[in-house]
Amino acid sequence: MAEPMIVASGVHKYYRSSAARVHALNRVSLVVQPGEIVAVMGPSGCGKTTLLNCLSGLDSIDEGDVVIEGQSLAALNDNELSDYRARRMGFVFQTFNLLPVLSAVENVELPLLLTGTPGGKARIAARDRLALVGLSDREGHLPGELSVGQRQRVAVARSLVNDPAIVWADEPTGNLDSENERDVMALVSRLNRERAQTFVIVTHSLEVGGRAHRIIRMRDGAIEDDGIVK
Amino acid sequence: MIALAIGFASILGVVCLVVVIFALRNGVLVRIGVRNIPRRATQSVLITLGLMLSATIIAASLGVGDIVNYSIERAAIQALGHTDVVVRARDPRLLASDYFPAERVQELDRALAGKQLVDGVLAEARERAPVVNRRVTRTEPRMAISGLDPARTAGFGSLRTTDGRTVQIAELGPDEVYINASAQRELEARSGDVLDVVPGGLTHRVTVRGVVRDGSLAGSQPRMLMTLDAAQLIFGHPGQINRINISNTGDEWSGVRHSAEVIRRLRLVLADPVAAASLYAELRSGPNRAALAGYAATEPSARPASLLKQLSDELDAGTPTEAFTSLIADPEIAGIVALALESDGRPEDAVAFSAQAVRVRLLTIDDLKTTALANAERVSDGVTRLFLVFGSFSIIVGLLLIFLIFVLLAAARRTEMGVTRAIGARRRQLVQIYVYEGLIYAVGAAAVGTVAGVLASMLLVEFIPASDQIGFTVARHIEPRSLTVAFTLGLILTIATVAFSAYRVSRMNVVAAIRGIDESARRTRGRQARRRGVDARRRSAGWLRAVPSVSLAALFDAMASGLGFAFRTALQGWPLIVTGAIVTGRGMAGDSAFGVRVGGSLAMIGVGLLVAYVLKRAGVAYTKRVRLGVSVGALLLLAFWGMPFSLLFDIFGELNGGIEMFVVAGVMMVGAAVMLVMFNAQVLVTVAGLTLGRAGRITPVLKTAVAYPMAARFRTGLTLAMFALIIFTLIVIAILTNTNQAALEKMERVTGGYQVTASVPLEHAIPEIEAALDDVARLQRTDIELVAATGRIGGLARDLRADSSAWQPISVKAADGTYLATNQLELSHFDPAYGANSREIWDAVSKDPSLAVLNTGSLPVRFQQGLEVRGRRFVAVAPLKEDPAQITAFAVQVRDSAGNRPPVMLTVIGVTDELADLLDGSPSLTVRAGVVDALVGRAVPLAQYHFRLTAGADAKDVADALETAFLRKGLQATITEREVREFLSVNTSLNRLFQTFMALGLVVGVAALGVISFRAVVERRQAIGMMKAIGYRPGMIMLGFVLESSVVAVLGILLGIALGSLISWNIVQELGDRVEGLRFAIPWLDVGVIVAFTWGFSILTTIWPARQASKIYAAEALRYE
Repeated sequence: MAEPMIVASGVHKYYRSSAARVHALNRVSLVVQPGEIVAVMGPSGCGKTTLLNCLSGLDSIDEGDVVIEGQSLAALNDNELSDYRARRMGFVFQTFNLLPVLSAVENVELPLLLTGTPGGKARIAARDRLALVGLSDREGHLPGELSVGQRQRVAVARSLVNDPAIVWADEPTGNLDSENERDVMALVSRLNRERAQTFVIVTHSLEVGGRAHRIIRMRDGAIEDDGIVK
Repeated sequence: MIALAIGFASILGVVCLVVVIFALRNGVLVRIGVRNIPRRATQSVLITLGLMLSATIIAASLGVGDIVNYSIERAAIQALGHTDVVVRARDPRLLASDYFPAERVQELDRALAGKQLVDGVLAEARERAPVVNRRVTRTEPRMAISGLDPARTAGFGSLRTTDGRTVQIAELGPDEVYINASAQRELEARSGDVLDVVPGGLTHRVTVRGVVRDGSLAGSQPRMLMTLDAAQLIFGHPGQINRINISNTGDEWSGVRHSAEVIRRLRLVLADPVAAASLYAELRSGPNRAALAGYAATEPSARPASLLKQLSDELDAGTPTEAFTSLIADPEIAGIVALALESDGRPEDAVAFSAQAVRVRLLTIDDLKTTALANAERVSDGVTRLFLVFGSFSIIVGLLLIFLIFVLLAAARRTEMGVTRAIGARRRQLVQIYVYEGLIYAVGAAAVGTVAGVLASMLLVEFIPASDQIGFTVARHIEPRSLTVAFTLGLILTIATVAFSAYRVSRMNVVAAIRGIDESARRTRGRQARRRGVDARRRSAGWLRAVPSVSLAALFDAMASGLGFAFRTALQGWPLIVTGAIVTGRGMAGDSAFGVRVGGSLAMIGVGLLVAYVLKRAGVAYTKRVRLGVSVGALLLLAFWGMPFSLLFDIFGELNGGIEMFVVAGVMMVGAAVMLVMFNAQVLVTVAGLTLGRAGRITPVLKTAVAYPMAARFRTGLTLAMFALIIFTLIVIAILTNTNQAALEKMERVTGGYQVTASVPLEHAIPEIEAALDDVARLQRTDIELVAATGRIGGLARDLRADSSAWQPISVKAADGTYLATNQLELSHFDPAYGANSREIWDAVSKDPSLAVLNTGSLPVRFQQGLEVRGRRFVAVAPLKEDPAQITAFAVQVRDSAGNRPPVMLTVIGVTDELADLLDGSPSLTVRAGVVDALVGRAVPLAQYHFRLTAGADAKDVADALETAFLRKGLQATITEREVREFLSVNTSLNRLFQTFMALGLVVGVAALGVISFRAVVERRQAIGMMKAIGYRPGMIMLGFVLESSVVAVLGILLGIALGSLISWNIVQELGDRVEGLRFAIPWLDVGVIVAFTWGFSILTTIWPARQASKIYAAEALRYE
């Protein structure tokens, strides 16, 4: 059997508020295999986004360990984590988080430039990913000149441009109407099929959950249910 | 200044009253506005600091002016001590040793008795004479020797020795003297030293009894004090004095208020009643009365007319009254009467009258302290004006910063403001909320800013050169009225800017604000809808029904509506073109550079707007047509302001303007350049994108560092303007300072080609100087190639081409044949009919006593470029300094300052250039020796000698030898090159003072970058989270922010350098027409320092927010909304 993509063991995370300590993640353990689409679902405030942030190394954990592709994140310093994310991870956010002052193609090529890829090569790859998400004709447009569905597709293209092992998506369809949601998730499914990339998606959407291979349900910072959909 | 203080305080009072009325009408708005202040204490402190800068700069300008004024006044007070008025012999200018009987003192006592006007009348015999300290062989060629009546020193302050003991003149023995501290330094003398005093060639030996502190009776220049008897003996005038000092009641500062009354009384006692009665009878004659009345009716200024009215009233009395005698003994009135007679076509009568009027005055009365204080005020007025003009750049920049701060504050509260509007607040209520909040900040900022400005002025005056170079010691003193003006004006400017900013930020789309989305697309639709709504309301309400409900609010709406219509119409461009053409036409008619420049600029802006309007009608997209319109307008403005002055004058004719044109030029050029850059920012971004693609891993950092500021057009544009304006000024100052150094390369054109100059008192003039040199022991006679001689008297002149016939002071320089034949001073203007070059013109003057050469300080200027000290002085009607070199000779009438000799007509055939005027720019006229004798009616000795040395001769050796050889003559020698270098170093120090002052403005620009960076960190928190998520390292985030600021700072610096160099080039070209050899050169070292300082500080200011950005926790930032 292949090495797991993600192994989380006893991950614990708490926040201090003025009154008390809030346990955002309560000794969460899970394993994600390469090529899986995993949907993390649950009510608001159950710890879904915190889990995604902790697994992707965006947030620190107080106890436990996260190992990605056999590499413990705890062993990496901030710069190494940044480099690792730039090389092996992609991110999609609910609010797209495209840089408003850069064109679509410039936004997409950013992760490659961060890894030192030459400008010309990065531009070719960025155009390729934009073609993949059907936005070849919009590469010179600024985010403000695109529809919300198009912006999210640019964000998806950006998350894929460095051929990441894992794509983390936090409510990727939260700001989209149902038609755009279907389009984006169809795209995710296709990419997963064609490129065997792992997707971990935090969502409230049943449509998104329906396209996942596996749904992890959370409640009060703990995994309530971890079931295979297909 | 007091009027200004009252004026600004009144305006502020009205503003506060309006604010209070609005506040009382709706207190909740005040609470909403004010509650924001304590919510974010740090932010409030930063806002206050940002707002304080305009008050700081105003206070610093006024503070420096006050300090200069007080320092000069104090120097004058120290020099004069308690002496307010001095009575001297009739014509002290020519012969200092004009003595009169000591009994005159008793007459003055009687005249001034009983009115508590004076507390001391002191008889004195004062002369200058060489003094030698025998112990160390140190000499002082012209020390003031003052003999004081020991019984009359009360009221003139005490004499204190340097070790603090009070001493009296009465304690001195017949051969004992006190010397002041300045004399002690010059002579290296101490108590007990024996000094040789050598007046008139005879040696008298005296002993130093003590060294007294400078000031009061001891004066501020080297001085020796002895008893009156001893001095009379040494000077050979027993029983006589040459000076009566009068100390008014009060201290050294306050006594001057009695001077006018004291002088009025003195005129009575010092007037010859017989001569006065004779003049009275003469002036009462019909033709003379008519002449006086006619002159009073035509004289444009009020004072002569008022004085003539007083005189006329006395003439009506029938007999010569005391008041008449006092009036006619006043030289000013006598001068006016002479002018009146002259204007009546009777110059001979005028001369005869002047001669008689002089006889009325038995002695001359000098209002010394009033004059000294007035001079101090004139100089400090010039300094303050110059600082305010240069400071206005910083003030403008400070106001831009206030605007920026409030716009960013509004951006931060956009959602909150949207909600406030959504629940029913009107736009003007939002304005009020902001104004209340801003008012609190503004009051605090104006107070703090005024204090900071005062402190800045105290530090700035450190750059004023040492006292021996400028003649006074800096004393820190600020007037309360300056504090009032700085506080009130700073506050008014800040409130006005806050109100304007509040109005701007209140114009938002409610939905866009609440949802936090871009509202530019919604703005046009919203505006159209609002207009439809207003029209509908007007139709439904009807004007008749609206009238009873007229209120402040309705008035506000009506004004806003009217302004809106006017603004929209102006945006079509044509109204500005028409207005600009009218203003330009009026400017040309009045030869006003300001009118032409402002009118022209309006027209250029109008053309830009018209282009945009035409493109709009042609259906061109908004972004494109605005970019094209702005670009056309900005390019036209840059071309208009950047064109060479000569071309400007070719097009618009003769134009006059002051130094304020420099400010207008800076603002217009920088404004145009910034608009051009910001509306074509995409070009920069594209270029950056193409060129930065090979920078490895930091490529994305570089790209965003250019893209972010270029996308935020408004805030980047404002900050660019701040930097560019300040750098513009600094560059202009640096370049113009650099051109001064041309004097060092053309030394002979400043010194005339004479390496040493020497002067002696008039009474010790050396007529056969060449022959006398043969007997100088320590002098290598072969070191001296030639000696020229000149003499100088104070005279009055008038240009016969002028409308006004007023005589104005001028110095008349008599030059011997050698001087006229050998001086190497160049002429900037000359009449080719008299010679083809400067040398030939000098030769013409040498041959013809009716010809003269004027100096450039006597010419009017088109543009005042430096310190302008206003006062009475001769100014020719033409040519302008800036005019071409060839002129037509013109006639000038000159007479002696007493006016009791017929005037002499001279033909001016040339004007010396600015280098010749470097050391002394006061009006002067050079003529052949002998002309001056005719002016004053007696032989005027030539007492200044100019030595041209042979190659290899040491100027210092020659100067020392001359001083030693002619010690008994009181000869003082100067090495001219050293004098020029010292002058230039003073000049450079003062320019450094201006540059440092301008650097205050840089603080504003740098602060703006800091404010923007802080705001950017907050605004881009989520984007920073995303960047970190996709692999940006913390260092890259930080670098990005620092680079962004650098892009703005460097762009601003480059714009400032380019525009500053352009206008400096124009100025130098203009100057170069008058001063041959003056070249434009950029002082790269200075520029490098300015750039490094600016850039360095901009980076320092950004590092803190950049560091904060780099430390943002990605997971938290991504949640941020």
